[in-house]
Amino acid sequence: LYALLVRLTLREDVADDLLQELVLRLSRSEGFQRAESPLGYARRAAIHLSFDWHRKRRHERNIEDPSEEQAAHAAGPLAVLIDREDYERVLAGIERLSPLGRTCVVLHYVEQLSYAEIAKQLGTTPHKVRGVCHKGVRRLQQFVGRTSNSAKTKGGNADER
Amino acid sequence: MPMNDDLKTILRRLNRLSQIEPNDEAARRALANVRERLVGSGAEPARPLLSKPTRSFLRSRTMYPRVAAVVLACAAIIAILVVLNSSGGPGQLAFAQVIEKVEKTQSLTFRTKNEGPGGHAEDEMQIIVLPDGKMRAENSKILSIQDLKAHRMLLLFKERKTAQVIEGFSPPSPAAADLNVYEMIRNIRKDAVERLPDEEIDGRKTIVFRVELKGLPKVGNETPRGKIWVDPQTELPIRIEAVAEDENEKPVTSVMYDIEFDQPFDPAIFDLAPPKDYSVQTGGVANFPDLPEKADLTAPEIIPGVGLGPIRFGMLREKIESLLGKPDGYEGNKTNLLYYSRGFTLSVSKRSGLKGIHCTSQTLTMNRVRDFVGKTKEGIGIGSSLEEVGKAFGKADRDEGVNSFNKRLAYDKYGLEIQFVDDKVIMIDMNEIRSQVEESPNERKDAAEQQSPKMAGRTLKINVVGPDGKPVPGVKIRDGIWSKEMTAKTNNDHVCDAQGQTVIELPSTFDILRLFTRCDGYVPLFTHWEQLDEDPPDAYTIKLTTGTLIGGVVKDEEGRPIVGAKVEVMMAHDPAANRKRTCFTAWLAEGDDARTTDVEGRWTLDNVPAGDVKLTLKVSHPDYQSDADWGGLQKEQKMTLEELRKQKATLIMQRKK
Repeated sequence: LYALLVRLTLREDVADDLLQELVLRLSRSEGFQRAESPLGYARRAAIHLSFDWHRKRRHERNIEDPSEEQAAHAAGPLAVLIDREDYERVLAGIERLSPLGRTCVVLHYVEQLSYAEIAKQLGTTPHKVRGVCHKGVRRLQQFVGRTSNSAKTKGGNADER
Repeated sequence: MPMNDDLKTILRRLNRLSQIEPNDEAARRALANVRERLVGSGAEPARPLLSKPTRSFLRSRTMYPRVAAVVLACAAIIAILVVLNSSGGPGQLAFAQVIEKVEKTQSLTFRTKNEGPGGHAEDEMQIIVLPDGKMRAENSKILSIQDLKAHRMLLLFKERKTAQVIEGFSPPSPAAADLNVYEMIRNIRKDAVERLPDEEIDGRKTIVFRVELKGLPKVGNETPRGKIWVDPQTELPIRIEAVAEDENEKPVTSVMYDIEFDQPFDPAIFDLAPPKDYSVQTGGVANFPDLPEKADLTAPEIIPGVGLGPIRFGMLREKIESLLGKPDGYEGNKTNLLYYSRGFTLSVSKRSGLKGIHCTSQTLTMNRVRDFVGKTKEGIGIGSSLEEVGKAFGKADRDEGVNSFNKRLAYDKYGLEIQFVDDKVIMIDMNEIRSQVEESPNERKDAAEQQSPKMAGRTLKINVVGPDGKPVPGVKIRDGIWSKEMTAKTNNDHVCDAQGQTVIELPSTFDILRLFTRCDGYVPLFTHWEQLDEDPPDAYTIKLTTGTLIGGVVKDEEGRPIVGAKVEVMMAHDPAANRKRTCFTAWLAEGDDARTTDVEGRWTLDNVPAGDVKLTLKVSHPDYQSDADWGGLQKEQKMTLEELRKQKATLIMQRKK
């Protein structure tokens, strides 16, 4: 779960905070206690928390936290991301998907779960998960493509290096 | 269908995201933090539950890190220049001349980059420094302009077109105060200097010296060293290198090259006005107000785990401001109250009230701030020594120092984190200690009484009415309250009285309140007040919607009714409905509320909303092959809503082999 939070926030310190929040919430959640797949439930909660954090960060920050600039270039496992902004753009795109689309895309492409495993966790069919993932990635393509173009026109470089 | 490049790129990026693995140490730390918050560690008693400000919050209070790279570079160059002026040994006269020449110049231009494990390509900067304390540093992503005399700094993030104006910019010592190169050159220290063999740079012969940089953080336990290359013709430095340590304790070699003096420049490049097409955010405090006269407001006592002077953890912003006066400024949607003129900032949640107290000093913050002068009853405050802190609080639970230069001791039982530089306290962070608060009921009561009457032991009266507006008795309401108060119950069940009323007791502070309302014949409802939402009123009316009947029969393969089959029903949920204060719940019959088939294999459910709804069933029986997932048998047997509405929906279950 911590790894998932790191992947979705690109910040180990934030993931640390969110993991605490996640465990606290799960410990009080009736749904979690009744869930057939507790790990699946926890994964979904982690995904919600991560994108809530992205949303909050965007909406509520009056003063931009310069520590994010530092964290953006922190060494360590996140250094595998050559251009962090591109990945943040992908995450921003995932955020804009429907809740189901977001969950399916993250679980399949980021957590590398099979369609069948996801379907089991979500109480649906592998066929539907596959459809949702496919649609989600196409929408992601539209969104990321749009923002890349806009970044390019502003002088940014959104190309994969 | 062929995959286009955009799609390939996205899939590649998603794949790269999946490959990220946090380092073991970070994961261990995260798990340890979870353990601390929830269960305590091992056989030891549970550690107190801290309402801990996030690390990023604390870090943002201490340093503007992107600028810190420049600060580090500048501090290094200055330290070396200072050393030159005071050095003995070979070349002494030449260096004195160098300093004299430098002092006569009107501008210094150089490029800087950081090399080594802690260095990043993004740190490359083009820097111009003027004798009057102005500095401009720029790379492809960031431009910073700072004016030490005007106490103002402008930070431009070029790609996002956002500008930050920092009012009351006041660089800390020892490193950042040295940003004024020319001023620093006048402050001479006696540091070690060693002449190295001459070297050639770009075909030019240079004199090389190695110096110790006592003004910079140590690398491990050693004083960082630097090298300087001086052009014997101009008697001015042309390249400087300094090895220092970044915030992750990784060695960074700051390289200053292309050093030139008195290069022509346009004075407009130091204009501190943000560009018109940038969105501007302003932080810091330009002017300090007069200090209040009361000593408990200017030098409030630090009461570990409880509060500061007259304020207490859990206190709401309005109450804090009524006791302390208006803050000098705010940050983060009024969640950070800045009392820089008194040396502290407060982290306040809209619902949970005061969460963190941060007593600070100018030593490590870029914002102009007066050193905090309050102390604990043991006499610990800013400037106290490591030894004094040890005597007052004993052995620390953890040392969270970011490097050998910065020690950060955590005392969990006191809810304290104390930061040291050169073994002197420069910052005290304080969090609420839950267990300690429970042990001090009087103080807790005091704090509660100081809250607005609305929040102290308040209640929420619920009225439940039917579609005709008349009260509905016997309605079951389950509450879900998310509160950090350990005494607050998470879930409570209520039943409405003959007047359709019930009263929900609320803790003094909470983050989320959710109500699940259920009554036979009515559609179950979900009512909620989420984080950062408005406060619940003193009374709230829930209006029920009459449900419609659905039903069906469960049979075996031979057409015999199955008795005791469990039928659960879920309704497709519209996420947009959650934005409403009250909406239908998706779980019409689930868990304890599931329906069971009778002797004729029949089941009914009377709480389904009218109209076109999408229902999903899950049917199970211990002796029959049951639905593993929602909607399995239903889809397989093509059950329709119309059949369900007519109560003629038949499901066939196969006996387990």
